[in-house]
This record gives sequence, C-alpha cells and structure tokens, in this order.
Amino acid sequence: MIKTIKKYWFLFWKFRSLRAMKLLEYRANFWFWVTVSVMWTFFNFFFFDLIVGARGNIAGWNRNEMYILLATFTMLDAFTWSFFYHNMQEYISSIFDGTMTLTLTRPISPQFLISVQANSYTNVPRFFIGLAMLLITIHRMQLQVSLLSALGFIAFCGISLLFVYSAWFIVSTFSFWVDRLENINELVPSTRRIWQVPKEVYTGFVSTLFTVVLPFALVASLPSEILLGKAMMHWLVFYAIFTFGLFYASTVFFKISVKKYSGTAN
Amino acid sequence: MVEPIITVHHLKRYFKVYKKKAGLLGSVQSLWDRKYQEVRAVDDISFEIQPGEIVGFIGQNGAGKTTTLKMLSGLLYPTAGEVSVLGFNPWDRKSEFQKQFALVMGQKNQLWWDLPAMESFLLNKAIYEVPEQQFKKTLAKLIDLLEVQDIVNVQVRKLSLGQRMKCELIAALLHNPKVLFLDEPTIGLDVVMQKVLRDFIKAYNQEFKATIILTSHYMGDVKELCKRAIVIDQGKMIFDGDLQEIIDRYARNKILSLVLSEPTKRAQLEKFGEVKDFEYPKATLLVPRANAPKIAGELLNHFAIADLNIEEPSIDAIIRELFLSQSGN
Repeated sequence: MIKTIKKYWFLFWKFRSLRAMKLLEYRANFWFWVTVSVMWTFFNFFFFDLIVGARGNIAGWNRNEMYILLATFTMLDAFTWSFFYHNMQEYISSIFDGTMTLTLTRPISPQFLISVQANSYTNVPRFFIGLAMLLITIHRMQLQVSLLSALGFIAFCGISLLFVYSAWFIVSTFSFWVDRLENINELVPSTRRIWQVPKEVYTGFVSTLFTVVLPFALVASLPSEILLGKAMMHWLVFYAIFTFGLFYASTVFFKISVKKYSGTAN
Repeated sequence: MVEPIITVHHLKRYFKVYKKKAGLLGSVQSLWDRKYQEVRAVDDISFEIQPGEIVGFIGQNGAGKTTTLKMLSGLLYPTAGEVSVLGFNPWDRKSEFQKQFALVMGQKNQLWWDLPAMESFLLNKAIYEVPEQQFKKTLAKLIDLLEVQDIVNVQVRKLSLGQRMKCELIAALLHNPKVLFLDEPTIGLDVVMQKVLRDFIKAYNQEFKATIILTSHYMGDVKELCKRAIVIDQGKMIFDGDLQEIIDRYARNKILSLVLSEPTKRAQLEKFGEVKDFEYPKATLLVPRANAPKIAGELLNHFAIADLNIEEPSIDAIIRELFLSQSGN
C-alpha cells in the first residue's frame, strides 16, 4: 500500500516536472496566457466591486465578505483551470482519437493517469493573487481566524476541488457513450458563474437545484463561510457526503463506461 | 509439453455501425431516425500461441487484426469467447499482467512530443516500476541494438519518423515484456528503416525469448519475421499454419525470368507458359509450379538464353490469391 502511494506520489510530481519542461520550450505562449489570466482576475474583482459599491451588499454579503468569497473563488478557479481543464481535455480527445489505448494498457489506475498527466502553469499567478487578496482582506477586516477555521477552510477547499473534479470527470466520461461531443469539456467550466456568488443569491427552485441537486453554489461559498464564521454544520456535512458519493460514482461510472471504448479504427 | 502463452477460444467481437443515407436530407433524417448494421469485426476465431513464437497476423484493412490485438491486450471487451494471455484474463487489467506485455501501434505515439525520448523512458520506468539496475541494463541493450545513442536526448519532434519509431519501441520494451503485440510497426517507414526494425524485432525475440504477434501490411515484415501466419478475412480465420504452407497451397505458378541472347517472338514463348512481360531481351513467364523445372529445361534447349531464374511469386500475390479463393467460395 505504502509502495503504491509512493509510486503515485512520485508520478504526480514527475508529470509536473515534465509539464514544466514542456512549458519552458514555449516561453512566449506561457507569458501571453499568464497576462490574459491575470487581467481576467482583475476585471472580475473590479466587476463585483462595482456591483457591491452600488448596492452595498450582495445577498447579505458586504464588500469585505464578497472579497473573501471572490478570493476563495479565484484560488479554486485557478486550480481547476490549471489541472482539471487540461486533463479532461486530453481525456476526451484520447477517447476520440484512440490514444486512450496507451493509458489503458499501463499498470496503473487509468483514472489516476487521466487525471494527473496534464496541467498548465499559466493560472498559478492567479492562485497567488487570490491568496494575497484573501490575506489582505482578513487583515483589513481584523478577522480572528482560529486554527480550526483555517483547517476547515483548507479542508473544504479540498472538498470543493474534489466535487468539481468528480462532476467534470463524470461529464467527460460520457464521451465513451457518444461518437463526438465537441464542447463537453466546456460544460463544467460554464458553472463557474454559479460558484462566484454567495449561495444566498439563489432562491426558490434554482436554490434547490444549485445547493442540493447539483451543489455548485456551495463550491466557494462554504469555505468562505467557514472563514467568516457563519458556516452551518448541516450544509458542511451534506456537502462532504455528497462530494465523496459523487467521487465514488465517478469511479464506478468510469469502470462501466470504459467497456464501451472501441479504440477508434486503429 | 509447453503450455501455450496465449489461448483464444471462439472469440467474437461485433460492433453496431450507423448507416447514413446519402445527402443532406439523409443527414437531417438521421437526427431522429438512424439505421444500424451489425459488423462482425472478429467472428469466432480460435488459436494458441506457444512461448517465444513470432506469429504474423495477415489480413486486409478491416479484417479484424487490430480488433483481435486490442482484445488480447484487454482494451476491448469481446462479444463472446475466452482469451488467456500469460494465464490472465486480459479484461481484468491486472497490473501483474500489464507489466508483462506491450502493445506497440505504428500509428499511435506514447513519447512526449516536445521533450527528449529519454524523459518518456524515465516516466515508463516509474509507471512499470522497473528497478534501476534492470532499467539501465535494458536501456543500454536496446539503445545498442537500435543504434540510437545520439538521439535519445534530442526532442522527439525533431526526430525523423524512423528515429521516432525506434524510440517508441524502446519505450515499449523497457520493462522486458514477455508478450509483444506489434500493430503495423513499420507503417510509413522507408525500406531501409523497415529492414532495421525487422532485424531488431528478430534480435529482441532471440535475446529476450519474447512471444510476438505482428500485424503488418508489408508482407516483407511477415515473410522475414514469422514462421507461422494467421490469416483473417472479414473477421474469420481462414488460415493458421506455416507461412511456407500458404506458399505451397496457394502459389499455383512459379515465375521464370529470362534474359534472351537472340531476338525471339512472343508467340514462341507463349507455347511454354503465360507471358507476363516481354521486352527483348527480358521476358517473364508464369508456369505451373510442378512443371517449372521441366519447362525451364525445355526453354534452355529451344532458345539462346543468357540467364534464367526460377522464382516464387511475391508473398503479396500469394495472399491476394488466397483472399480471391476465399471470396470465390
């Protein structure tokens, strides 16, 4: 067991180093995308600052609380773009072009290999912008963050990443069942608009849809609420159970779906 | 008696293929009404392969060769039938099984395009958990056999197709697989590189006692590497045996190549066999296989001949004959 964990840990970092080497081959492309992603982050903060400035608050979240939410969203979003987008893109392509064949013949969990072999570094600066914004806002609010809150925040950021990963992986796995779904990889990223506002924004049926049925509204809201000291236990328990269930479902769905793989013509 | 390393019993794989009506109207109609057809890619084939054998899988495009290899590798689930490779059911995809075989597809790359091949070798070392000493020893041997000392640290995208294929083979063989599935390994390569790879495959088989199944469109690959051939046509196995047996059974004629030293008329030659080519001083005759020596003697008696060769028809022509005889059935 320990040997397997060591192997997977080593491979995780081996892929990071291979991607870094590959990135350094094309520096201009790297700097271009860093600029785009940093600009997008600043525009996003500016946009919400304008709204909160005009209205005083959004669904009961004041300007500083919104900054905590946006900082959390920015970090989570940077991580998902760095890892999930590229891995899922390659995953989907590999089903259509037949390179999945190579993944499936290797003595390693194919789901692990599919999920870690790619990444981009262009969103790393965004992650640190989000972190800086978070620390500055905590300092400005003179928020007393206990060790438990800090650990809870980190744990639920991890759960949110697992939730987004599982949902994305399930959606991508549908590629085994149909001949071609070109935009399938854009489906989960399109839900980012849902995560970047407080869950209280949603009301009625939409609230049930995005907090219970497909709880995307909890992705950034719940970790932020933990830091702000306003998280409710029943939401945390529900979200954690839902996420682990979804992750399990993603592994089962993959095992069933892979039987549909035809490997394309050759 | 040695146990077979690969056993295949009544293996079947059927696909459902959508048949589209021609034209735009057909495309629009297909949005709600689609007709499907069952394609029998592999249709009830059985065979056994002994350890250390090199077996050639021969068949036209779409015959079912690659589908069979994919089922033996555990990539495709069969519609019916049983397969055992190295004592494992391939579809269980156990890592103990995956560490003992390799699938090389001439049209699929596993090397990282923007990085030197050595980086992919090191990655495979980690994935296959190859011990350091074994990795170094095997890598040195493979590099030596394929003479790629100078290119393993050059970015893959800067290598020629032949050099890339050599590195692909190294990446696939670093874990010393006992069973090797080679699907069109020489596709797109020039004749010199084809020969290099064939020599390598032969040497690898001898050095590591590996069992090899090879599919190729180039009959030269099969002829040079495989003593045994399995011929598949439309998913069915139509021949399994010595390659020489195919030649004996389906090559009805031999080729007599003549170089004449005096002008001769075509009609005179036609009395001895079918004249395939005639451009003085060269002529090529097809004669019944059994009578070839006798006819050669008669030709030498009747004409002034500077040179005469009795040749087997090309293996491609024989296989064509085999397929034609099957379609005639």
